[in-house]
Amino acid sequence: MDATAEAGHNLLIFPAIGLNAPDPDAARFNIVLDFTPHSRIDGLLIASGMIGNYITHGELNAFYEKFQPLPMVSIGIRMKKIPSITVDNLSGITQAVTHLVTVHGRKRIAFLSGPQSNEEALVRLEAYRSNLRKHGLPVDEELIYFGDFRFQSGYDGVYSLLKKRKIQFDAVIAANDEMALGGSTLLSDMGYTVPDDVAVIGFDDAEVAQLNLPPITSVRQPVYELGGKALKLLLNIINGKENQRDIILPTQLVVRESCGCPSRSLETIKHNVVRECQGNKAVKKEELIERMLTAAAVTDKKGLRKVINRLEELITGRTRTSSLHTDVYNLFQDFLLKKTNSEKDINKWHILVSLLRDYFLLCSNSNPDDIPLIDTEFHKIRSQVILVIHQIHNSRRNQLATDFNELTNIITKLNSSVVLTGTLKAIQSDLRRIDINSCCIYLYEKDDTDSRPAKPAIPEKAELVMAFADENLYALYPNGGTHFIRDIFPNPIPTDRKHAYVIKPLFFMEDHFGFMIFELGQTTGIIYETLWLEISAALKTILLFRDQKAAEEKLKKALNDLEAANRKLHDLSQQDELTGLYNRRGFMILSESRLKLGKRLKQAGILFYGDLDNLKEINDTFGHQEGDWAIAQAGYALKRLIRPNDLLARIGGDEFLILCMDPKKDWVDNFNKNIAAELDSVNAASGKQFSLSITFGSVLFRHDTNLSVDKIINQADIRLYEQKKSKKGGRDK
Amino acid sequence: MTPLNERPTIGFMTNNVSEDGFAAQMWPGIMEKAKDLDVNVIAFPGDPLNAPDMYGRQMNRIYNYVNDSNIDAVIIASGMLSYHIGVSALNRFVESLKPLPVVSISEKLEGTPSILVNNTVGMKNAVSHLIEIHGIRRIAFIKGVEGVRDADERFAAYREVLQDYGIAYNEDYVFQGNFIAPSGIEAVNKFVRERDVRPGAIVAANDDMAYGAMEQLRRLKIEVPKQMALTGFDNNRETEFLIPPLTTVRQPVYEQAVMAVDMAVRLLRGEEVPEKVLLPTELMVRSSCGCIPRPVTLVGEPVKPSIEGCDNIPETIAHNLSAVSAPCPVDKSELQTLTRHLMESSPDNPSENFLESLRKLLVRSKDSEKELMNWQRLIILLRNNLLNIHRAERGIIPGFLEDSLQMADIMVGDAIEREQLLLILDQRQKSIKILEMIEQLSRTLNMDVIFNSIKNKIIPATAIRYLFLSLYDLDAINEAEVNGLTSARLHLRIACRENEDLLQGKSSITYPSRYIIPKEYLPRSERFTMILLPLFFMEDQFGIFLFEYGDFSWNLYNTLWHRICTSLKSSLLFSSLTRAESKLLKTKEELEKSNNKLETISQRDELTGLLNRRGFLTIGSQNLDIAANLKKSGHMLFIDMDGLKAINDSHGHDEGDNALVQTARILETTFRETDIIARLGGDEFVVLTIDTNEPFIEVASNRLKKNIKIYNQSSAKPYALSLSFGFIFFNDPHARTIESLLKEADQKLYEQKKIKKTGTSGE
Repeated sequence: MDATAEAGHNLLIFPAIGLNAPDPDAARFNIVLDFTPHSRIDGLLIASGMIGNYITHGELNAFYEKFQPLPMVSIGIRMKKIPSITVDNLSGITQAVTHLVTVHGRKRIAFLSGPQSNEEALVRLEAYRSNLRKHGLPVDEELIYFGDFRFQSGYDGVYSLLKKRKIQFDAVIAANDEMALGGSTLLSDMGYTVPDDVAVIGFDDAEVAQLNLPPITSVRQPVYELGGKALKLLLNIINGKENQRDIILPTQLVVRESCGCPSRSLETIKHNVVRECQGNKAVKKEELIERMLTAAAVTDKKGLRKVINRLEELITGRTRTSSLHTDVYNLFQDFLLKKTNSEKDINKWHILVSLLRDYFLLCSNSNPDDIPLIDTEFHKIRSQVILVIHQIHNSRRNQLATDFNELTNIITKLNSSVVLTGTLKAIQSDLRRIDINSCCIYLYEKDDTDSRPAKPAIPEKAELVMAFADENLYALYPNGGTHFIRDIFPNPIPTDRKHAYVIKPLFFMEDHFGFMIFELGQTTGIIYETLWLEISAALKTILLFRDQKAAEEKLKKALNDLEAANRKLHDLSQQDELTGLYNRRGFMILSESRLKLGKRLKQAGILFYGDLDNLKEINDTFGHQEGDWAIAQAGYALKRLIRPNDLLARIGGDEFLILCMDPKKDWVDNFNKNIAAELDSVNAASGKQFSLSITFGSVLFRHDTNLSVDKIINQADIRLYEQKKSKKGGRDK
Repeated sequence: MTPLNERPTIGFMTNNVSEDGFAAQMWPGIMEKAKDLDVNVIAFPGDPLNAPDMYGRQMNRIYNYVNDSNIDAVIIASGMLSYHIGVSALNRFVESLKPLPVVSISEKLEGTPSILVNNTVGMKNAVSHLIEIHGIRRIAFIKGVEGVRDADERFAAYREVLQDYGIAYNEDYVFQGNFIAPSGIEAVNKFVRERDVRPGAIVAANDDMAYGAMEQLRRLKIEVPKQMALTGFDNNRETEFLIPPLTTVRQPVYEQAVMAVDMAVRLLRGEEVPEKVLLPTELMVRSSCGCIPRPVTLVGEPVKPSIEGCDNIPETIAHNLSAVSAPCPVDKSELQTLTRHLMESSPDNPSENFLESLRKLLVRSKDSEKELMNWQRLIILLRNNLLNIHRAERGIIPGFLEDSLQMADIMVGDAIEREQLLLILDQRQKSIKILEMIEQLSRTLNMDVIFNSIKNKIIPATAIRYLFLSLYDLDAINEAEVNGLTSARLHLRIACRENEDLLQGKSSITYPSRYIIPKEYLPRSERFTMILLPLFFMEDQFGIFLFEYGDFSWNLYNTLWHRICTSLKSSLLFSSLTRAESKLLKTKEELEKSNNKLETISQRDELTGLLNRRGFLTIGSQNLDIAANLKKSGHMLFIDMDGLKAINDSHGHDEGDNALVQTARILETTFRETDIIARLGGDEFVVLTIDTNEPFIEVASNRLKKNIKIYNQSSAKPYALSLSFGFIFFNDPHARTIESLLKEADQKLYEQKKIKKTGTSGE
């Protein structure tokens, strides 16, 4: 990133995990790789070591093939057709073996290798074998253990050498620091002393290795330079200045204590360039200072010369009474604060302080009376160094805590709204506080088809829901518009804005619903990863909420439709659900046609209007279910009494209508008696605590009647009323 | 002292269990004292009472659990709680907590033991330090919010000190701020740019305003403390890490908390406690006032002999360490050995032993940053003592001893650095763990799977020993009101106690929501420190989350807790979505059924209003029955529109429909009222007449032709209607069915059409 910024080019980062990685989400992680063959890209840097972790060299070749003819550079793995940048694994291991053999006299050196499938691991292993031979040492395959680059495998590996193979060795080289740490931990657990019993050397120069007791000697890979050099190579290829070329970067053995060497910073107290030159008049003061600064690996030599000159003035020019320490303190404080951001390594400072101390003690023409004063001043300076480094580390720790605070605020805001606009607006300004100065979020349009593709795919277009850069908000839902994804950047963000963007897919479980592009800042990666997960989840929640609202809306509409349909059904229905007889509507339609036909055929007719006598009581006393039973039974009884062509209907409640055309006289005369008999037999069989009875009013009409069906029904109703009254009256008597 | 039968549980109502803000040390104070006194703690981290925003109201639902079913006494951060309602309303709230014993931190409450802070002394110390130690007399002051006790007291203290030292008060040196960082920026602009007063020091009434001032001074390239000194008040966490570290006044929040726990326990024991305690503040001298840090100034200072005598180095060192309020990191005999090893070394016999024993002691001290910082002082004091011994020889310590001491410096420095880097690494690893957990929780929308991830992944990864999660009745959640309890019952869904799943396969246990969790599930023999948090998302309150406060920082727990809330919300949303979708599916099925049924029971053709096939079959067959009973004859006509397709094609379907409607009208006027007319579908119509004799068809046919003609003549349409029909006559209705009649009539129509066609082609 730094190199891109310097070169004034833009950088797009497509973070992926190994192709074919066993992670269930791998396909969705790696969907970002599908973005790559697009118009905005002039060249590609590919971290082959990571991408190719789970695939063969051939498959990796095929992967590169996809991006032809884009200029490309492979980082970490040498490719046949693609220029590459790799580190010199061979020389790293060579230095380690040579150091152990020549400096520490070790002869039985074990090797903790990486997996046999890993190319770099095999290079390191082969380097180990060839170097042993070079030093005339036998290669004992029993001394080689294949781990998986993890701590545990280093631990297990050394255990296996010691306990299972029961093999003797006096040193271990591990193919990375994690395994070296694991091995070293096992050795101390088993009561061995590192480095006295067994020397340990790792590879990578990871921070954790430095923190071990004893600190692990390791091979430093120039990871930072690797990126910069790779970019430079790519740019040269793009500009046609260079083409096929493989660059190999040197590695360097960083000697610490696990190989048996003394601590360099402690060692410098007694043995250093200044003490070596003591009494050697041939070495001029200027030259001594130069040698001293070189030994201390000082980068800002000019700045430090100034400090030395000023310190000399202060020490030689002091008066007994003046407060020397405040000036020295201020002098160093300024210098330390200016430099500690790039020089966090306290050892470097200690070495420098030791050299300066000896310089002033031995080489300055100072008064012997000054000796305790000089020692005291340098004690103070050391205290100062310790405090400043302490403060710097504390700030780092504080920074992570502060960043997490900011992140928590953002997460709280993310989760305080289920409305897209609100959520996006809320986080927009806060993202800048974790150093994201530009960010775009795209969402795919939801397709209503429920079939999800087995492999997630990127649609052609997506909706831009947010885009901002620095102080400017360029787009916000719902006014972001739809864009072709191959453009990657929405039009509103000025393309001349220099950038280093990361492209991350947004997904939740198998649902890949969009992607975000954000500018990498100074905050640590964990924060960005967490943020990305939270944004994914929050957007998923919003989409779920939206889906749920839509589903509810749809459901509401469907329910409305259903209700309308049911109403219509009811309206159109001619049958009574309970009894299966015609309902009022059915009766009206059919009776009309029947009357007309009767008129034509000169048929007289009769209409009965009936009413159950005690339905209300049955309902009230025995419940509606019993009431329904009563109605149905009455209906069935009536049905048994009429001819097939007579019309029988229940027109609501407990009311029945019967229309008979051309009725027989004695049937009419006996109607009431017959229905009573029918019901009696129902009553007798039912075992219910109530009995059914029904009252009818009837109207006889001639074929040439002018009355409409309605009118006839009205008249029958009046008759019924009279009947009921007389029945009641009769009962009252 | 009356011993307590059972280990009591103290509640702590606060808004801050995090590492930030001036009250950051309160929670550690509560935790540590509770450990000392062997009592349990449950923290209720909410918002001020009567919070105006939804988030605050949702947070404050946990206060419902502050009752004697869950805790035995409660400590309240009263300044925070009363923020919106004032102290008198807080008094009423405290009344409502009775019979729980209550201890108040920071506000004086009636009848409640209260622990308060002395602002005045702290501010006086800060201002006099600037005057006495640094000789600064032009001191500017940034005031806090006017009318607030803290602000007024601190300002008054500033004025008082000026008066004490005979310095005239000058309004130009005072800026009215409001306790937030931008006030500091404005103040600096006012002093330096507008008023051009260039004070020698700026005193801010709190740390936030001091940050603002420091930032603005840096922008204006005014160096602190060289060109201008600066002090704050509160001792926020960040003050130590500013460059330069801020000199400020520490509020004794830690001590307040410790004392509050102590008082709460004494109340439980029935002992007397004071109504009011006033605690002193402490000036934290760092670098922004112009002081050089103590470990630097300590180097080479003359030794202050201990009482017993000055020749015993370990005694003197221990004594001197206590003078700089640093406990000795080793015991006396170890210190003696260390000293002996140093003294025994000579140019011939190098100080290997000294360095080796120092190395061992440092390894032992690792994991304690404070202790390692004291080692730095110890080495300095060791040298100061040597200086003292060798003072007779012109104060020169032999070179090899100085070398050893320098090495000791380096070793201590290394140990401190390593410890710090390990802490950073630890912090990162914990962050990664939380990230992994978030990832884990983001992989499902199923509530049971969420609970299982918490149980099987998160609890082992965080080493949280106690974790409980309960939900309200889920059906009630949607209708939940924001105030008051959601439901009377809680359902315990996760109950983990020291690697044991207390639910043992049961999906939940239901209990009254007065309890946080049923008592029998609480840790039994072990003492606990737990935090209660509400589970909610916007207006939906789902339940509560009780967990042990362990090794992680609040930020990380906080992130995890938010994730659990969101995951639960998502899973609820998802299940309600699923429910809605399946209901939708069912509704659609029903709708389809209804529509089918609708179709099956419908008797009429929507377009023409005539009977449809079904209606025709129903009524037609009834009429046919009647005809059979009465032995009547009749006709069945099958009628077909000519050229409907052509009309549709050339004039559109609307015209086609219109033609159908017109045909229906023509048929209605042509036939009698008692005849049954229906549209069977498409361009097919049928008519059933009962009680018609054979000649009827002649009449009807003529009437039909005439009516069509009339229509066509009067119609302005670009097409003419034309009908074909076939018919059959029947006088044996009892032997017929409506279906057979239809079929026969259709056959006749077909023949008719054929004739028509050949006839036409023959012409």
